[in-house]
Amino acid sequence: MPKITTDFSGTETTAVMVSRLRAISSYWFGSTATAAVTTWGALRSLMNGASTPAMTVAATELGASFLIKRSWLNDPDQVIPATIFAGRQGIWLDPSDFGSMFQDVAGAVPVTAVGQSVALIRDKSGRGNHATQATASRRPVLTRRPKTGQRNILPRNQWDAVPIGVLAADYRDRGQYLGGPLPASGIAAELVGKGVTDGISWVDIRYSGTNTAGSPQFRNIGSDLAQKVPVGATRVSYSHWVQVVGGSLSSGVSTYQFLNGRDASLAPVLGAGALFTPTATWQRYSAADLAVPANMAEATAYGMYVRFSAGATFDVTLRIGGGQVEYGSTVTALQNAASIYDLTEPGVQDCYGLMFDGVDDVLQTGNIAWGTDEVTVTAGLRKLSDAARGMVAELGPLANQRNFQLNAPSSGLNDYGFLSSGSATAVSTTAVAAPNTSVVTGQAKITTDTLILRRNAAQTGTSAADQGAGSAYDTNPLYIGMRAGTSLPFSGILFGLTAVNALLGGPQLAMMEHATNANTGGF
Amino acid sequence: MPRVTIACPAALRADANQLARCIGLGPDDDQTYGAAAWRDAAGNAYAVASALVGEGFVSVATASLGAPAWGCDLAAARRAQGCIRLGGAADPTALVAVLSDAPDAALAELGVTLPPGDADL
Repeated sequence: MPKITTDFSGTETTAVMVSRLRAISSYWFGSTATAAVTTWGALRSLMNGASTPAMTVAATELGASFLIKRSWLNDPDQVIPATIFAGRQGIWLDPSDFGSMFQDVAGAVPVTAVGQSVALIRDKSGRGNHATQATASRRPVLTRRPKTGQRNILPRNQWDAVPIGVLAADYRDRGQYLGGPLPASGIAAELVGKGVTDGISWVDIRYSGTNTAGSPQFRNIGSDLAQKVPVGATRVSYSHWVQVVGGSLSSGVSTYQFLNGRDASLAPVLGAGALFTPTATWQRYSAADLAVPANMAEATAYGMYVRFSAGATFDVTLRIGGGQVEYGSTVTALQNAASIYDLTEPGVQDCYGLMFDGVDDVLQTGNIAWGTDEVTVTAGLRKLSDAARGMVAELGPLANQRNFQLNAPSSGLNDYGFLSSGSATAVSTTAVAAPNTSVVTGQAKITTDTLILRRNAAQTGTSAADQGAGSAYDTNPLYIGMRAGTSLPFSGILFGLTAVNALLGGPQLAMMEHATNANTGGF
Repeated sequence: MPRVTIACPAALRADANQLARCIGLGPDDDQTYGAAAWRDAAGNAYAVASALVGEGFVSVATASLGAPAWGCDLAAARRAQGCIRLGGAADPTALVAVLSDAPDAALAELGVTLPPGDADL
């Protein structure tokens, strides 16, 4: 996309400035929409009404906001360092920039794909505060999520890696599952083809034989779950694409049904509308708005079952694909899960982040001479667990020593938290249970006992608690993902991290939050 | 790549770090097992590591060991190798490894948790 720019000498009349800005806005909005724009007010209305993302600006900030906003949308790599980090200390980590990440600390082996571990992510602020991890097991993993968020909780619904041939035993691949034959039941299962139709990965499975068992037999086509049950989730919906490509399914012989958990004896539990008969047409079937079963959180395979009646003889080939399990009462557009690190949705922007495992993953910068008692830190996050306090980012190895820290969650759990310390600590938290995707910002100034917490570009809390003495945060490394690399592991995805040694306000704060959100999808 | 999560008893940490250095990617892998901050139901302390590993990890981890280019304490690594056990609950006498893409599921199988977090400091 070509850039359109304009220069100002500072002596232009309002009419001239409006005219030039209108010329730029014509590029963005179309000449018809801007033809009547001849005043600041009209131009401001145009921007506030049609801009993406929305950013309300005051008349006094109009020119600067317009230029910053439109410029960073066009080229944030140039504008953000120039406007936020000019003359300031800080860091900007951007996992959407593959050129900034490497699989080794030396920076010789670039990160080229989702699922690779990241040993080095370079600071894009221009301050040289690169973050590294020398120990292989402690590196976060590059991860992809649709900007509209994760709905499909299956860890994998792709069949490209399945081996063609007789299914002699249970097939498992990254959480994906196919139930193999029971030796005594007379049922054979053979994978006879695989492919992709309309972006949906499928596999053809031929079931044949006579069920010699004295009871119905089930073949599971499903998966483990990729995440825990969200707090408050009461409904769940299942969907799957199915086609009969050979033979037939018929009542009393063989049926196809959705599983909604298992009972105490591990038998599948059906919900209303969960039983159906696929046809020769490739189409999506669903069982929506079922009650979340009590055992949903167990690491048990969920999904779809083919049921063969006792004594029945059958020979049917099913094409199955596009499995989706989602919380809520409605079935939504299919999201494709290649692994827990790689979830995409057709037509939706990808967001790239670093997945920290909640066990031992951590990155660390060199010493940062912070130089001031002020901070603004913004992180794009998907918090995956509230089981224990998690440290997203902390300046220095210990709290309460002129440091700041961003928590997901804090010690109160089920929240986000921001803390700042001189010789005493102030804290603000905002209640949000995992799993959750948000852009979280903390701002603080020690000497004025200022502390602000923001989520998704809106202030959620402040604290005027005494932060004690301290004219500047201590010179220390910034730890990302754990406290000092030893405790409080963060479980979740970091889509971006920006920190600067100043209390940002107005357009710069908005730019930082909106730029982070562009690769997060929090709001 | 599969993920493996390993619970290392506090007493085995030094040997286990030599094993990690031996079969790992570089000398810094001897920092794989850090603080023994995790606890099982009986209160036993473990260092837990979780990482993506190659498809042949189990074979590599249980095969005959040789010193890597960056060196290691082979005797210690072999002692740790003799303590490897696949799957199940954490054991104060064993290096228990769980293969699971989801670290939280692996931690649940190991039966280890972190003690209540620090106060907000």
